[in-house]
Formats: sequence, structure tokens, C-alpha cells
Amino acid sequence: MKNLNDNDIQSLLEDKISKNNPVLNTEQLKDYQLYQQLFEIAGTKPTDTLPVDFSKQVVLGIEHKQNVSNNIIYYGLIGVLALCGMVIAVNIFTSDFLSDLLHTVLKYKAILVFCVASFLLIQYFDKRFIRLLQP
Amino acid sequence: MFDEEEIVHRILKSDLFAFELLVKQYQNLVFTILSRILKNKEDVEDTCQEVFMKIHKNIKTFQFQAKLSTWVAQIAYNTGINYLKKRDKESFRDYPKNVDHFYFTQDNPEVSTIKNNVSDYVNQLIEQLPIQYKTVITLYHINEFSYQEIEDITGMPEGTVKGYLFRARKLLKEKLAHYLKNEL
Repeated sequence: MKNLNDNDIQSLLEDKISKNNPVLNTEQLKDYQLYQQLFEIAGTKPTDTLPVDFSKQVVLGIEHKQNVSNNIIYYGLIGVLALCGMVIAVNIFTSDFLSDLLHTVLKYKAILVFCVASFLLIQYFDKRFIRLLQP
Repeated sequence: MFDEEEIVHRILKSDLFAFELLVKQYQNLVFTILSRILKNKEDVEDTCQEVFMKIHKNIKTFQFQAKLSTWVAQIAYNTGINYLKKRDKESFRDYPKNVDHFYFTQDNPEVSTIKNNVSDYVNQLIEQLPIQYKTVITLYHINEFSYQEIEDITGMPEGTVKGYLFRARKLLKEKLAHYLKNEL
């Protein structure tokens, strides 16, 4: 009879040769049965699971992320269009007043950029907090 | 019948219902892996969500080089390990202690109560093993991955996976033998 060690017995069970009732001596049989029991316990699936609506929660989270990134793109585009509109409007109206106005605006262009950016941010956070406060 | 290829193609076309089916198919797999890795059970559900967010973000990189279940398990495993590295550096080591002389906690009233049930006792012992050992036990026995798949998931060479599995099972068998001897 072959002298089987722990690794050999584990390999027997892994290869599922156990179904053929291998020939073992008393000591080996004891170990074999212990490993069988261990394999059975280790392979039992746990009873704890995730909530039933987990998959829906995941999808809602993804939709929310997509909405947020869409809003950023949307308001960014509006800001760019507004700026382009202003440039076009300035070109169309060529009176001295507008020329002076343009000169003044360009002198303080940082303030203009800040105002547009603030407007977009306020819109974004306004929508975000309104959503949180809504039931 | 869950058709991996069809589901992935539909998800790539922004079909969220198809993604929901993927989540339902693999949520127990992800939950089982993270339950073994994370000590704090309250973190498991949040981390499961994070795993699926990552899967959705990176699904375009999946090229069917392996089974979808293996890829999902890999993301779950890496997310769990990274979370552990950030939150609890003490409980994670890149090179775990050798379990050949592993010391389980002393018998205390709580462990004694658990010993009344063989299955619970063995599961408590598994919980105390180093993370890499209990992960390979979970992936092999509960999730029924092959050695090659476990190598793909964890990054540990197949020989190491086999070694961890055999040594951990031997230790558990010895504890089980001792327990049953005392019970009789």
C-alpha cells in the first residue's frame, strides 16, 4: 500500500478520485475523512448576501455620475457660446460706445471670466443641493 | 442563460439594463471575496458598489482574454486589498506569515461557544488565517476557480497558490482533528 501524506490525500480529493473509494490504511482513512469534512465545510457558500435591490442601487449610482458629467459639459458649452456671442455682438455693433465698452471689458477680462465661471458653478451646486433637499 | 459576450457588447452600447444583469450575475462572487478580505463588514457593501463602478468604467478594456468571472474577481480582489492597505496596514503583508506554525487565538468563551458547531468553528479558524491564505481557500472552494484562474485573479504564481492552499488545509485539518477528539 502506497504511503500517502497529507498532500497526496488532498490531491486525491481535488481530483475527485474519492468517488472510487481509494484503498487506504486506518491512519490515512482518518485523515482522508477529516479532509473530506474540511472540503465540504470550506465549500459551503455563506448565508449572508447583499440587499435584494443592490443591483438597482449600483445602476442608480452610475446614472447619477453620468448626469453630473453631462451637466458639466452642458453648462461649459453654454459658457463658451455666451463668450462667442459676446465677441460676435461686439463686432456687429461698431459705435464708439461699444468700442469703449469693449476696451473696458478687455481691460478687466479676468473679472468677466470669473463672473461666467461663478455663474456656471452656482448653477451646478444649486441643482445639486436642490436634488439633495428634495424628498 | 448568461451570454458574456452579448452582455458586454450591450454594456458597451450604454445599455444599463444589461449592466444590471451583470451585477446580479456576479454580486455574490464579489461579496464572497470581499467578505473574506475586509474585517469590517459594514465596508463590504460600499466596497462591492465601488467594484461594480470600476467594472462599468473599465469594461471597454475587457478583451475576453479570460472568463468574465475571472476578470470581475480580479477587480474585486485588487479593490479589497487596496482598501485594506489604506485602512489597516497592520493586517496586510505582501508576504504573509508561514501558517505551518500559525497560532490561532486562545480559547475564550466566545470561541468555546462556537466550537459547539463544527462548521462555524472551521469558518472561524479560516477567518483568522492571513488574508492570502483565506482568499485562496475562498476562491478555490466556494467560487470554484482553478489554480490558473486564481493566479490570474491574485497575481500569485500557481505554485504559491497551491502551496498556500495545501498548508492552510493541513493546519485546519489538524485543528479539526484535535477538536473532534476532544468532543468524543
